[in-house]
Amino acid sequence: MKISVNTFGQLTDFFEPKLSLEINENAPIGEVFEKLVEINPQSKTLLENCRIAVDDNIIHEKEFNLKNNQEVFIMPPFSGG
Amino acid sequence: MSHLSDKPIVPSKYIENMHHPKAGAIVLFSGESRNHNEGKAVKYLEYEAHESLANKIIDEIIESAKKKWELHDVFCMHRTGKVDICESAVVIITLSSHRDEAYAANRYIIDRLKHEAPIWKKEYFEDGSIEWSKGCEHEHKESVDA
Repeated sequence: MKISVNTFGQLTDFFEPKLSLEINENAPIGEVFEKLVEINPQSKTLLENCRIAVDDNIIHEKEFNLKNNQEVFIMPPFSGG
Repeated sequence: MSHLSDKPIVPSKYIENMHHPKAGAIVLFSGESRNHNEGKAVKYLEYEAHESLANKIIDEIIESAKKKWELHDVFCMHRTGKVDICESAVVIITLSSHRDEAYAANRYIIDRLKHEAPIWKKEYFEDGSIEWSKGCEHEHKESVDA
């Protein structure tokens, strides 16, 4: 299935701000991380310190299962203010 | 209401309308774009945000502040886009009957905003270099392991 991934801040040094990924049906969030590390291994350290949001909700469990066409937001450490 | 603006935010404009008959104290914090960081001359800043989530989280922070202190009104606005030196990047205004609550609530809101609102700052330096601010490290328990 296909999901869209949005990246922000420092992560946009490694990936396009918006990208489309093909992942297994109902795959857990963890699979998105694995795909991103495959695409750009140098992003691994930063990805380990990212938060994830799906539909305006921050997800804390990497076992969270994704649905087809869901939009995922991968957020490096915040730096507002 | 939206807590994000891609246009300049002028603190004096907002405080003009922030009066309340019960409020004996109004505290305004303006986080401003300064011309230096870690020994380097800064030309300007740029902010981006996950806007809908940032609005939701700032709303939650304000509601939480209202539960902790008796506040008569609260205002919070953060910039996105290019912010020139001496411009406000964020403005927070808190109104309460007495100054202790207004100061404490204001500090509480900016501290939580910096750690919890999905907003990112990019620094453009005078020497031509550009860097994303490292920002606040997420709490390990709240991040997802890769």
